[in-house]
Amino acid sequence: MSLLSIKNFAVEVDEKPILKGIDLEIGPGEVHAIMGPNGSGKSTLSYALAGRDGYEVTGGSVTFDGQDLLELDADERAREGLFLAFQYPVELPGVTNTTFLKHALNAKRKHQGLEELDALEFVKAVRKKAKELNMPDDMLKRAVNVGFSGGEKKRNETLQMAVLEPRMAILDETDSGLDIDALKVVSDGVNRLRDENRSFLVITHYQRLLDYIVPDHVHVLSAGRIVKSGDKSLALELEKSGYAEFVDAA
Amino acid sequence: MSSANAFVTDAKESARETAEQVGALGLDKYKYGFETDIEMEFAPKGVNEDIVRLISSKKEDPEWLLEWRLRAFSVWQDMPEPQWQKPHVPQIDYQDIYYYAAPKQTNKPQSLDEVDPKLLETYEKLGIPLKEQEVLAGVQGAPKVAVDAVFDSVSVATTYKKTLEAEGIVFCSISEAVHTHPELVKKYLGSVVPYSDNKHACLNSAVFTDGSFVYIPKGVRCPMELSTYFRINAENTGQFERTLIIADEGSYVSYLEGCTAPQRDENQLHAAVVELIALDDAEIKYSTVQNWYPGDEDGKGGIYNFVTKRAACRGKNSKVSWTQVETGSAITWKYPSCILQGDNSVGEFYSVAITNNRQEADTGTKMIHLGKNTRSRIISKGISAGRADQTYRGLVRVMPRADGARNFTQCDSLLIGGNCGAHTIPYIESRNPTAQLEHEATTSRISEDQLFYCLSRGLGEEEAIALIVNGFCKEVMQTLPMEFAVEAQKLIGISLEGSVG
Amino acid sequence: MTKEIENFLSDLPTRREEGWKYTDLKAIGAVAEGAGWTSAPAARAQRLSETGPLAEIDADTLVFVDGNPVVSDETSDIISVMPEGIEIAPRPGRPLHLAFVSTAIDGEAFASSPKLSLAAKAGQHYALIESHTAIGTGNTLCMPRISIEAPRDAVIKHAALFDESAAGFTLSRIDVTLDQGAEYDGFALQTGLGLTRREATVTLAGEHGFARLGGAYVGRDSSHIDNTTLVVHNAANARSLQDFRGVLDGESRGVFQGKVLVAKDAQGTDGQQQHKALLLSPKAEVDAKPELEIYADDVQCAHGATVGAIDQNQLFYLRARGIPEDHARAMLTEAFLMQSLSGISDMAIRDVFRAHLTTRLGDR
Repeated sequence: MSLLSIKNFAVEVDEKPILKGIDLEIGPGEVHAIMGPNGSGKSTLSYALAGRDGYEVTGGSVTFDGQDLLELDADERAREGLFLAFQYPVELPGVTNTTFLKHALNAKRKHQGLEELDALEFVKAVRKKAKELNMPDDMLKRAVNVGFSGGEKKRNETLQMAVLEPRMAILDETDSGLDIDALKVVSDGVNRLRDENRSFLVITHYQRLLDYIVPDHVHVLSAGRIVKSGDKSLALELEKSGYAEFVDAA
Repeated sequence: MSSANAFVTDAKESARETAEQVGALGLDKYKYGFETDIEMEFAPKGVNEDIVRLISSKKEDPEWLLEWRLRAFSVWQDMPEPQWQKPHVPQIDYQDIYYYAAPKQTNKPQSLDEVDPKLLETYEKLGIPLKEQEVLAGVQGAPKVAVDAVFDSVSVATTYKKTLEAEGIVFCSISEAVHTHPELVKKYLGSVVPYSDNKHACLNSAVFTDGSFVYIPKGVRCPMELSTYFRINAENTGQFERTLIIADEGSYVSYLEGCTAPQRDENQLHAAVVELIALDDAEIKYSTVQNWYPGDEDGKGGIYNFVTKRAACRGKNSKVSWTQVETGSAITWKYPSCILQGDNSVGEFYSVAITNNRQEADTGTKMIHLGKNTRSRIISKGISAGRADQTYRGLVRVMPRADGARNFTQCDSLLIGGNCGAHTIPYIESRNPTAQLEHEATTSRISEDQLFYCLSRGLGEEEAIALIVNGFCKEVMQTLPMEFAVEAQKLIGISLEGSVG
Repeated sequence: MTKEIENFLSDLPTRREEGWKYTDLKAIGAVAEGAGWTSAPAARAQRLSETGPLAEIDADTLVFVDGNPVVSDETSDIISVMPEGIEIAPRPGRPLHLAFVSTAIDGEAFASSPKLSLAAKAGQHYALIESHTAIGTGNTLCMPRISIEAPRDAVIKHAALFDESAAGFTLSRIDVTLDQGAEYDGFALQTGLGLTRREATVTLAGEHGFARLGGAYVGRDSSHIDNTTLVVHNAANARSLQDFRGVLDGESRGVFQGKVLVAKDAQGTDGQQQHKALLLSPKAEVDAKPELEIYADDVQCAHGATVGAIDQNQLFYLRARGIPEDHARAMLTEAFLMQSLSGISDMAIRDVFRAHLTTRLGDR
């Protein structure tokens, strides 16, 4: 059975149709990549799945582990184990990384009926995970994403993912604004989290990222529809020929 | 076209032009300081009920308008002078002013050919294209501008009337509109600025003699810039014009206003009222280059410019944009405002104010957010030099029902020399938790580094200052219609002449 | 009652006056016409009581009960009560806590106007703590005036807490004069339920002086919190910084009137000012009037003011990490105010303020 099942999913933004019927089945442990040109609806898909206000669902259904995802608020989806790594991580002045992670993790644990983590235990766990991502301790004490470089922000998203251990992670253009070294660090972080139960939806414009996070399936999104699906070779094909044929086809 | 582009892309070249212009002026610093010798008809000095009745009968007012004037006059008598502005305004002797002065004419001119040639000469000197053929004979591609010229108290000529009439646009003097479009005048006059609004507007309501009237019908985009040129000529004369612009649903108009006055030793009062009404989806762009005589270096003479300008964005999605370049007047007291009633309506205020010598200015805007998702933007650039004193005063008010209202305000002041003052007084009032208001202001001077850099590239000091100041004002100047922008830019250089110590 | 209060009550400022445009004192007049304001009976002055969360900071403590100073052995050598006011000579390096406590109970209306002047010594460092708290729930009108003279190179750190009852009116005034190289670093946390107006004037009278005025406030229920500041740059090359933040809930109203005045000869001035407010309720209101009045040309002055709601991007980001909306809003509100507390250099005071702020935000 699919972990995430998207059927004929249609979404409008400002009364303008953006997604015009998406069908996608993601099984446990699978990594799917969605590629597409600018304006094809990639970010809309990730925001709509995460439950952002202003993304009006006009048709179709989405189930997450058998549950109607669209019935849930953004924070409920997150607590159920859906994680969105933002293309543009938001700055939170005055909120330290540690505080933020603790609130997020405890919200989830409470939802799962678990005890809140002991502060010391928590800090230890976070430090360990930060280290794996080459994040110095002082980054944990700083306000979330404030004054972070592009690479640091993406590492921070990966850290949050590592701490929150979602069942399904959507990576929205995680590669944008990263140099090759930062890309490796972030990809390694993601790859460490891959296992037979955890699924990924990797959204990207370029094939480059998929050299590091190798997908099981690749889909091409154009003008709000999936116009072609295949295995990882489809990404390489796209790299060569570009999106032109799909843009025309749509 | 080319000179306007030069303004945008090559500020250095234009600064040279400015410097040349300054040089060409020689000792006559105020270019428009001449006087026109023309036979005038005056009402006796002073104001009382009889004078109001006299003005009313001269204008052949309908009964309702006379009554309105008289009500205004009776309120005015007990009204206190505004006291909150920073400039100290000397006691005005309202009985020592002529309230009605008009070029003597036996009959109303039917066409431009019948207008006194001396008047036309005056406007020619001012560079105002009154004669349509001159505009047509001008540089190829020069846009047409329809002009209403107001000389002291009365409108002397309106051009391009026929072309505009074909579109259903009404552009005429307000005294004419009272007769030709009484229903519109009656409905909208005083609907944005009630006569009891403030002392100056109240006096205007009682004694206004002329001004421009514009009506743009539904869905019409006015094909040319409309322009009024105000000229105070006669001695001891107040000018009290009144402008009313109505943009009906879905229409658009760009309106320009210019003003000059002769150089005189005494102070002259200019108390105008401008009312703009934008209905659903309509847009009005109102640009002013104010160059009233500012007085001499010692502060002798000059115009008291006490003007009430206000726009009502009544309709949904309506927009009003005020742009002003203020270089003249001894004292300026002026706050072009927008009442954002219609949902999604937009108000903008772009201002450059330059004060030099002994000039004083207290100017800014008010943005009142009433409707949902209303937006306002304020960009103000103040330059103070010599012994001048300048204040930006602005109000942004968000009322409880204005969900999603937005305001952005940027106020920058530049000081030239250590004897002037520059002040910023914003009032920011919000009563809606979904509104977002942002205000930023800075005060600084032209840095030694900037100046030295320009000098080391061969620019003279005044040229360098004009260049830097023009750069400082660029964001506002870009909002002016092109033909106005070039003029305004030159004016900045001239206004700052002598500011280098 | 003091002459000062009598004069004040007989001619209450009205909203027609520019400086009182946003703060209405009609309610003070109503008490005057009703029960009538009186001085607290001397007996009350013996009742020393808790002085709020700042009591835990180790300091010389001078308690004013309903305006009357309670002189203890501990403080007898630093204060002298004179007819024209109380003169205080704080000990350098030892915090001094001025604790104003209101004890009026229902039916009482106590008015007071304690006048304090502090004399610092050149080159010395001082820590001043000020608190305004209430035990009773009756009407109180407290009009303290504190004046501080800071001679050459003196450094004064000042932390103030205003946490009065709903029936409390506090109209406080502080005037600070800084000589050459002197520093004043003040921070006020306002969380009271009544009407609080704090007028702070700092005059930079000598070159290279530095003044900071910081503040954070929480408006809730029908509280009214007014900060009216004036920083006067009379000397060259001095620096000033103002940074205020407020959160307004319920039917509360926040007022910020801040002014930087740079005199003609104060070249090389650096004057910065900022006010940020967060409106949380459709019945709350905020009015800001940040002013620059500048007569010198070689200056760097700027002010910024924002009023807004919680940022939707930030809110979504928190929710996308599983934090429930209410909780996310509370976090962002607290973070908004906490940022201004980072300006307090004394860690112990900062911690007390942080904890108090969290408590009061929870009380909303």
